[in-house]
Amino acid sequence: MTRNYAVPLDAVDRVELTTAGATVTKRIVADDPYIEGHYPGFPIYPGVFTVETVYQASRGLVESRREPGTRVTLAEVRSVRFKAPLRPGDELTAECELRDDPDDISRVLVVAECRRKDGATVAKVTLDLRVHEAGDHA
Amino acid sequence: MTQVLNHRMEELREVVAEVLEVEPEKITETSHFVEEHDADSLRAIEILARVEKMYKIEIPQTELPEMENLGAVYRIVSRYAGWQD
Amino acid sequence: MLEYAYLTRVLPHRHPILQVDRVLEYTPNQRIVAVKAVTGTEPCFAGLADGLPHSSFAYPSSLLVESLGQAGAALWVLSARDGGTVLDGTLMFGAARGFEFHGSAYPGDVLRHEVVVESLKENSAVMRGETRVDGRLIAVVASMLAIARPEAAVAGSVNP
Repeated sequence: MTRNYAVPLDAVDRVELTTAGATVTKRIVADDPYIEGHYPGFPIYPGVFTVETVYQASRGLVESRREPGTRVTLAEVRSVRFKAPLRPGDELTAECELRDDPDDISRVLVVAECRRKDGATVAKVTLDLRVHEAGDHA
Repeated sequence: MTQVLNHRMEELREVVAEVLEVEPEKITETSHFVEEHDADSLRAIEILARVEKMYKIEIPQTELPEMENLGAVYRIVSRYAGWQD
Repeated sequence: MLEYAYLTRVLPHRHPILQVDRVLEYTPNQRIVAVKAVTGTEPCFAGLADGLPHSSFAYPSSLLVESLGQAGAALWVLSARDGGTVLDGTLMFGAARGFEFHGSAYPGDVLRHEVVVESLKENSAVMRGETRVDGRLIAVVASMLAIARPEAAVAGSVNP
């Protein structure tokens, strides 16, 4: 499989569109890249990878909705709080709400509530995405 | 004196509102951070760090469980900052 | 100066997610400066298609957050040790606020993290920091919060 931009791992298994944005799922597996070091003998999905799951899914969504060649980057992690760990065997579900900035078409706000299969809240993530039009490689 | 007290209470209300991500008007002296404003232990730590920096004081972490509303935050800060009400 | 070998005795993270290579400066309870070299052989650059533009090779933001966070974690653990204590339990990334990205790093770049303590307690640390490449600002974080939790609580569940 080839990728179009550098990522630490494929952090998204499935995306289901919702009225507000998307419901994103990711199965936690011990042999994903980087997990072997986090931590040896006690694998935990790194908190920043939960952010990565929300980012990859929302980036894909925004890029598919705009002009071909549009590229999305992360402008700011406005807020993230981690409330419970994800271990191999768990499934992460991120309920993502995408809000276009009414004053700036190059910005999209993403608010995500992340849960485990047992219903426990894993993290709350708010991201600010920057939208680059085709040809802008800044 | 009352003037100063109100000013400090307003300052603390601003800090608490920013950390809890709610409108300052929603924070009363008795509204419960966890039960009414969806806070958790992480938020309390953040509030503690902010007020320590703001008033250049040090508050031990043993005070954290007591910081459950704005009134309590005010009482704890005034104790460590030596405010005379 | 603290080398990589020493960092493996400070942080629980191991290859390939140990994202700090060397500590250049360290003042207990106050400040740390640490570096991380980005290289094209890292797992995050695997599997990229041919013919992609430069921008596709930006070091991922999530790893940048991890790297800056690890520099902060090292500052906390080292400060505790120098103060004659040991952190009680497993170190965890609790929260972050205002983590802004102002530029990107690419293979060949060296990230220079500077983290400053805002508040240090027995079981929690609040810090702020920034990352530069050759003096150019890449990222700024207004507040990062780390906590130490007993092993059992990590395996079990939820922040009360």
